[in-house]
Amino acid sequence: MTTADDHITIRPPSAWQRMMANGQLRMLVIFVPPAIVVFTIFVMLPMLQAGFFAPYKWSGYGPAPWAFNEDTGRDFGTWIGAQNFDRFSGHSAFQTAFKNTILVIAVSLIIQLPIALLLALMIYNNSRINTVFRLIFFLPYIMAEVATGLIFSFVLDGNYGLSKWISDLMGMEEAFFPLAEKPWAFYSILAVIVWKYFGFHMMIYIAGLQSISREMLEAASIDGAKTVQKAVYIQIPLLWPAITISIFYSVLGGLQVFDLVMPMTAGGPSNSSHTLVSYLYNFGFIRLNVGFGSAVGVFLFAVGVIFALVYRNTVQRGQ
Amino acid sequence: MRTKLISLMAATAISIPTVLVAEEVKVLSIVTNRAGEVEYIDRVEKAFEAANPGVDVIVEYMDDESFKVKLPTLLQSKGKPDLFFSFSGGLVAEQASQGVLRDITDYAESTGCAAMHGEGGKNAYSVDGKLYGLPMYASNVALWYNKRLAAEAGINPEEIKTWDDFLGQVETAKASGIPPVIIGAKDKWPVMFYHAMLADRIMGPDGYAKAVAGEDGGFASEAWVETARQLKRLGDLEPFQPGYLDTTYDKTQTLFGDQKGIFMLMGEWLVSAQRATATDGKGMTNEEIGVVSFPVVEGGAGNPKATYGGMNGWLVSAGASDTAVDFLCHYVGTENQTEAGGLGFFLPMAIGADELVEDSHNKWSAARLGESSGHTVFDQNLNPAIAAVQLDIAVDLISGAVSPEDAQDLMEEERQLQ
Repeated sequence: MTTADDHITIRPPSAWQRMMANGQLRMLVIFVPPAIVVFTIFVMLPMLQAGFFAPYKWSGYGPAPWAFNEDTGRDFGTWIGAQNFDRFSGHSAFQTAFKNTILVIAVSLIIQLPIALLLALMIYNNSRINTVFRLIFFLPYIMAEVATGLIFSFVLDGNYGLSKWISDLMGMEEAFFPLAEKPWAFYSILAVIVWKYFGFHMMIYIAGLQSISREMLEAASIDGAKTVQKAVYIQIPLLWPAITISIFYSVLGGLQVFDLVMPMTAGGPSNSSHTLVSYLYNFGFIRLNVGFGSAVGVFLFAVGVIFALVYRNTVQRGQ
Repeated sequence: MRTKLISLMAATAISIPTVLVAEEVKVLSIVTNRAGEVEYIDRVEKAFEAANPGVDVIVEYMDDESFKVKLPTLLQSKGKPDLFFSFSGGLVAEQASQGVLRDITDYAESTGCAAMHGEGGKNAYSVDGKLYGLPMYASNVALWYNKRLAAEAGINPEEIKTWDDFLGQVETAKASGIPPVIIGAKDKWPVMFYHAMLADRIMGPDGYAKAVAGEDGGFASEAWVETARQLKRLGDLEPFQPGYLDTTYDKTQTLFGDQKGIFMLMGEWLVSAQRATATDGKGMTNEEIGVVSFPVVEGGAGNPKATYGGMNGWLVSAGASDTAVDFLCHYVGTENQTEAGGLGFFLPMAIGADELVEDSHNKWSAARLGESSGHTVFDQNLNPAIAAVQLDIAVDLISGAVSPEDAQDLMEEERQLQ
C-alpha cells in the first residue's frame, strides 16, 4: 500500500544547477572576468573620463583638469560648463564634419551595400572562379586604413601620381588634383570608402546566402521563378537578418571614419573634408584642447549609443 | 678551490646589477631629413657613452605630427623622455606652467654649459627667468628662387625690395606660364610664414604682443586685417603650382628641386633638403639658387632687417637626471655644434660654433641673423590654439575661402576664448 507521502517529487534542476552540470559556469568564470576587465579599462574608463573632461578647458597637461597645479597655484584646467558643447555646435567646420559623416553613412547605405548585395548574389555559389572573385573583392578590406589612405593620396596626386598619368593620357593641359579641390576632396574619400568596405559586406551577404535552403530555390525554379524573382522574393527576404547587421556596421563604421581622411586630405582643403572623428582629433588633440575634444567625443558616443539602442529595439527586434 | 668559486660567484653577482642597471638617457627627436645627420647624432651619442661608462643614451625619432600629438601624454607617463625636441615658442611656457619641465638654470650655470650659449637662444627656452632647455640651431626664412626659371620668366628677384615688387614679379612670371610660387598648403605652416612675415613687416615687433594682450582690437585690429588683405592679394594672383592645396611641405621640396616653380618662402634648410628629395637625386646646386630677404610692405612699421624663423632645440623633462642635462650640454655644446655647422646641417647656436660653416646659403642666412633687428620665432609665443587658427586662416586667405575681415575675426575670437 502506498500513500501520497510516498511519492518522490522530482523538481527540474534550476538554471544554476544546469550551468554547474554542463560546465557553463566554469566557462563563465574563466572567460568573462578578463573580458570585463579589458572592456572596463580600455572602453568604459576612457568614455567616463571623456565625460568628466568635457566641461573643462584643459590642455591635457597634468593628471586631470581638476587637479591642483602647485607650480601655478591653480587647477590644471578651468571649469567652463557647457561652453565646449556650445562652441562646437556653432562651429562651421563641425557642421561640415557632421554633414560629411551623414554623407558617409548615406553613401554606405545607398551605394555600398547594394553593390555588395549584387556581387554577393552573383558569386555566392561555390566554384573556383567565384572564390577568386571573392578574394579580389575582399582584398581592399584587408589593407590597413592608413596604408590605403596613403596609396590613394599618391594615386590622386596630379604632380607625380596616377592622376597625372591619366590627365596626360587624356591630353588635359593641367593635371587633375581631386584632393586639392573643395568640391572633389570629400567625394574622393567617399569613393575610397565604398571601394574599401564593399567586400566586407559582400562576405556577410555570401555567408547569409549560402545558408538559404537549396530546396527552396529549386522549388521556386520548378515553379518557373526567374533568377531576379528568386532574388527578390526568396533570397533577399531571407537575407534580411544579415542585411540588418550589415546596416548596423555601416552606420557605426561611418561614424568612426578617420584613418582614411588623415593621410588623404587631413581634413582639407579649408576643413571641407573632415568627419566627426578627424574634427575631434584636429580641433581637440592637435590644438591641445583636450576638454573640447572630449566634448566632441561625448557627442559622438551619444549618437552611436542612441542609434544602437533604437536600431536594436526596432529593426533588429526579435532577431 | 671552493672559496675561489664562491668569491667568483659573489663578484659576478655584484657586477651583474652594475651592468644591468646602466643609467638610461632617453631622447625624443623629430625625424630629420638632412642627409648624414642621424649618423652624426650616433657619433655624438657614442662619444658621450664612452666618456660616461654605464650611461646608455637612447634616441627615438617621431614624425612631426605624431610628436606634437603624443607629447602631452608621453610627458606624463613613466616612459617619458628625459630630453625632447622643441620648436620653442608659446608651447614652452605652457609646458613649464604645467610642471612637466625641469628647471636647469642653476645646474647649467654651475657646469659652464649655459655659458656656451648666447642670451637670445637661451631666452627661447626660458620662462620667467628659469632655463628649461637649450637651443641647437636657428633658421632664417627667406624667399628662395630658381635662377634659371626666373630668367626664363623675365624677372630679376634681386630687385625685389617691397611686397608690391614681389607681387609684380609674380604677375610677370605667371604670364610667362611658369608657376611663380611653390607652396605646401596641405601642411598649412608654409602658408602661415607669409601671414606671419607680412604681420611683422606691417606692424613691427609689437604687433603680436599687442594682439595677444588684446590691445586695439587684438587680432582683428586694422593692421592685422591689412596683413590678411596683403596675403589675399597674393592668393588672388593664383600664383601657386597646380594642386597646391593638396601639396605637403615634403612634396614642395621635391617640386623645388625638380624646378617646377620659381619662388619658395622657406628656411635655409630647403637648399639641402631639395637636393636630398629631388627626383633625379641631385636637385639644384647652390649656384643655381638665389635668395632674397622677405620684402618690406610700403608704409609698414616693420624693420626690413627683422628676421623670422625657428629657434629649435631641446627641453629637459621634469625628473630628468643630471646625466641627461650633461648629455644635452655635450650635444649642443660648442665642439659638437661646430662639427654640425661644418657638415652643413644647420646654423648652430652655440657661441663660436659657426666657424666651420661653409655652405654659401647657410653663411648668407647666418649673416642675416647676425644683423637682425629682432628674430621672430615661428608662432611668436602664441597659444597652440591661436597658432592653429592662424594656420587655418592663412590657407583660407590664399584660396579665397574667407575674407580678410572674417579671417582675423576668427583669430581674435580664439584669443578671447583663451
